[in-house]
Amino acid sequence: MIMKRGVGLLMLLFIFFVPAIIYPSEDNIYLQDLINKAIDKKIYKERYWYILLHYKKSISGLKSLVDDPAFFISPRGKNDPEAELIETINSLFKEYQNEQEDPRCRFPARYTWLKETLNIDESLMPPSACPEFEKFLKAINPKSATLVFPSAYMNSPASMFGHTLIRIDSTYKSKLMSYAINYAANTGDEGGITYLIKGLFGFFKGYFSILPYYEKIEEYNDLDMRDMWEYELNLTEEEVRRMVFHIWELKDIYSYYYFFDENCSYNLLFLLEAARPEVNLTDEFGQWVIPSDTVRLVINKGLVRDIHYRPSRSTRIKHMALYLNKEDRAVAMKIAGGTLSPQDIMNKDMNNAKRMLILDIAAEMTQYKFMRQKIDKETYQTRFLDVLTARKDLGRPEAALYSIQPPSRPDEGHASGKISTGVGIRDNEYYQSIIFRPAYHDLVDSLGIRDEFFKPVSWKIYSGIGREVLQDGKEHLLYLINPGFGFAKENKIAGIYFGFAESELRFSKRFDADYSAGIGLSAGILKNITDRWKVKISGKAMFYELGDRNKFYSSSIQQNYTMTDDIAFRVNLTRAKSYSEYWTEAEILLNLYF
Amino acid sequence: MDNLAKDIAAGHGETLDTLAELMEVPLQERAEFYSRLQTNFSNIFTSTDIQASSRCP
Repeated sequence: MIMKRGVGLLMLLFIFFVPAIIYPSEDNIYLQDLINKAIDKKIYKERYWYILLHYKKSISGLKSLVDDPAFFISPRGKNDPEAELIETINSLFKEYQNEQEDPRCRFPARYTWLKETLNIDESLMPPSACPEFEKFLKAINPKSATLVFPSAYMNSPASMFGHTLIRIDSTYKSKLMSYAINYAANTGDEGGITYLIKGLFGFFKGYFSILPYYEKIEEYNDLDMRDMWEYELNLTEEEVRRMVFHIWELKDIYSYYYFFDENCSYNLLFLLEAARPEVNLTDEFGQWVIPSDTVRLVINKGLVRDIHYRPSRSTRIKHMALYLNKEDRAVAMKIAGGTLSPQDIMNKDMNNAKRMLILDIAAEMTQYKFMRQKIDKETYQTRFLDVLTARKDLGRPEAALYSIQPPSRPDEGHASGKISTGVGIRDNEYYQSIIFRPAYHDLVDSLGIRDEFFKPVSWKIYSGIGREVLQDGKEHLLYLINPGFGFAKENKIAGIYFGFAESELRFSKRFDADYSAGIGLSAGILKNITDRWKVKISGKAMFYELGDRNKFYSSSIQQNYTMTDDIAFRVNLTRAKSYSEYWTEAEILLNLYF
Repeated sequence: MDNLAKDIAAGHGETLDTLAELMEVPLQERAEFYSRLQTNFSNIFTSTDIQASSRCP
C-alpha cells in the first residue's frame, strides 16, 4: 500500500510540474494578485473549501479524509488547506494538453467556487475546454436529488448496517431514468471474517460510483429483496448542480473505508454539504455512523420534502400471496418450479383475478430463481416466456390489488443507540443494572422469516462487556462474543418461532486460563400482543468445554412495552442453572434510544 | 429487459410507464397503448430470447 502511494505521488509531480506552460507570459501579475487576495481574505479557511476537500480536525491535526493523492493539487494538500488553495490557483494559469490534467475540468466545484469568491476574470486565463465533463453533465441532467435507503438485508452480515445512496433525478418523471451515486468499499471477493476485520480497520479502498438507478433497484429490490425508501430532498436545481460538480471531482478517487465511521453513509453527507453548505451534517456523528441515523439527521435538518416506498420483490410476492389460499400459493410455486404448466390454470375453473395473482407470483419467482442461479438461462427463458404468454390474455388487474401499504419507516423506529437502566432481584438480592449499547439492533429486530417462497438463514452476532455470577457465586466482569445462526418461521397464532445454533467465547480473570468457550442451542417464540407490547419466551443451553468448563441452562420470559419511539419498558423473568446452581431473576428495565 | 416483457404481459408496471414516457405517449392514451402492447405480446416477444428482443433504451 505504501509502495503504491509513493508511485501515485511521483506521477502526480510529473503531471503537474513537467508539461505546464505559464500563462500569461508577462510576469503573471494577475495571478499574483489573485494569490495575494486569497491570502489576505484567508479564503482557505472558509467552510466551503473544507467541505470540497473533506478537511476535518482530528487528534493528529487537520487532514482531509480523502486518501488518494490524485485528489490534491499540492503534494501537501492532504494536511494543508492553504498550500492546496494556492497551488490550485497557480494551476489554473497553466495550459494543459488534455482535459484529465486541466484542474478546471477535473475539479469544477473548486474552480466555480474560486471564480466566484475571488471574482476571477476568465478572459485573463488560458483557454480551457471540458468536453468530457460537459458530456457527463448533459447525460445526468441534474434537476433534483433523493436520498435512498435500502433497508438491511438480514441474510448477509455485510449489509447489517443498511446502506444509503443518492439518486440524481432529471426531467424524466420515471425514476428508472435517474442515476445513483453510490459510495462503497472495493472489497473484491473478500468475505466472512477477513471482510469484517479489513472493514473495521480501513484496509479497503472506498470509491464513488455512478450507475443507472434501475441497476440499483435490481440489486437491492429484486436480488437482495430489500425494501427501499426514497427521501426526496428539497435541494434547488442550483444546489443539485453543485453536488454533481463535486461528484465529478470524486470520480476514481479513493479513501480508506471504515465500516463504522468513514463508511458509505458518512461520505454521502459531504455531497449534501457541497450542495447546501449552510447545513452541517458531517460533524454530527461520534464513533458510529449508522445509515438509518443519517436518514434521521437529514430529515431533522429539514432537507426532506417527500418520502416514497419501493417494495422489494419478496414484499411484492408476499403481498400478492395474501389474496391466495394455501393451495393456490402452492400452484404458483409449482409453475415457478417448472412442475406445472401455466396453461394448466387456464383450463381450471378459477376466476381471472386469481389466475393473474398466481401467474404474477410465478413470473417474479422465476426471475428470482434465475438471478440466484437456481435455474440455467435456457430453462429460465422458456419458463418465463410461458408464464407471460399465459398472463397476457388476462388483462390488467385492479390497481388496489397491487398497491402495497408501506410498513413503518426506518426513520420512524427507535434510534440505533441504547441506554438501558433498571433494577432486578436475583435469589433475594437486589441489584441495579445499566447497559450501554452504541449501535444497532436486538435479535428481536433481525430475524429473517422463512415461508413457502423464501428460506433465509438468520444470523446474529453479540459482543459486549457484562457482569455475571461465576463459579464462586459472585458477580464478575467479563467480555464475551457470541455469533450464531438459525431459522425463523411465522405462525399467525403463535407468532414467530426460532431456533439458533450458538457459539460463544468469554474472557474473564476469574476463569481457569482466563477464558471459556462453548457451543449450544437456543429457541423461542416471539409474539406481538399489540403494536406496542411484545413478548418473547425462550430457552438456551450452552456447553462450555474449552478453558473454564460449565454447563449453562436458562429459560426466560421477556416483555417489552414501547411507550414512545425512544422509550421502552422491559420486564424480564429468568430461571437458570449454572455451575450446578439454580437461580431465579426478575428485572425491570427502562430503555432509552438515542 | 425482462421487466419490460413482464410489464407488457401484465398490462401495467414502472418499466412500461418508462417506455411510454420515452416514446412520449400522452397520459390519456397510455391505457390504450398498454392494452395494445399486451394484445401483441406474442408478436413482440417471438423467441425465448427476451433479453435480445426487448432492450430497454
